[in-house]
Amino acid sequence: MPMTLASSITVGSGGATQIEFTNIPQDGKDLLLLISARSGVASGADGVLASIKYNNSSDSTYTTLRVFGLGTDASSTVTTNGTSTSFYRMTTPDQAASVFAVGRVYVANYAGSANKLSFSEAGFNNSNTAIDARFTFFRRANTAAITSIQITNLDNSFVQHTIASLYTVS
Amino acid sequence: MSDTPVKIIVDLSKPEGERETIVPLTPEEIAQLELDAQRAEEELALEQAEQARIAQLKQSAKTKLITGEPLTPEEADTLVL
Repeated sequence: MPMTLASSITVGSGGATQIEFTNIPQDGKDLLLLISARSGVASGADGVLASIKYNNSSDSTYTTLRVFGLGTDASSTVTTNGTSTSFYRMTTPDQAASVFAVGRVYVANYAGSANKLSFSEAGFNNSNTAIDARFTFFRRANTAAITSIQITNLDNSFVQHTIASLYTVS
Repeated sequence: MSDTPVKIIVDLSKPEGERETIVPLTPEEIAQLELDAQRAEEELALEQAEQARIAQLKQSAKTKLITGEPLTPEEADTLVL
């Protein structure tokens, strides 16, 4: 599966609440998004959530299955009719210093005319002892080709040195 | 969030070096962000409740195994796939 870097963005000193890739080339088969992020405001042990959505739409078409574990116990939930999918928890200034959460999202057949299926893997360290891991499978019940992706910090800003890289897979 | 939040737009139709712009979120985008954040918090609360439920079932199952008591079907489900 050859991958081509479409673009990589590093957040500057002012921070940003959202990173948006627009006019995504339609010549690939799948998309791969890699993200390393940290949030800017203290929030306690739960960290801060980030979401992903496609085509900057507010339609309630996301069904999400999450398998997750914080510490030793793993469990799962299913949610429906979302306007985006929260897929990622980030460290904050009251947690381990300079530790960025990591994650990736794989989007299948993004330029096709079927509903859009994606999965993500992400993990963060909410202190030096507790690690949160989550595996998320989500479906957008919308057949439009994906031309843009929005990654949003749902509580504050992504801090400087947050990196998001988008690849096309052919 | 007291300051107007901003987003970084990376326009892949433009040449490298000209792709990035930083713009304030529109009022509509801010309103949607707040709705998404509220929903995400509700989903996180659901996750935490589910984690607590599973942990409690496992602990109960462990205690009953040690003392020789029968498990409930839910408790058994935490041990057998």
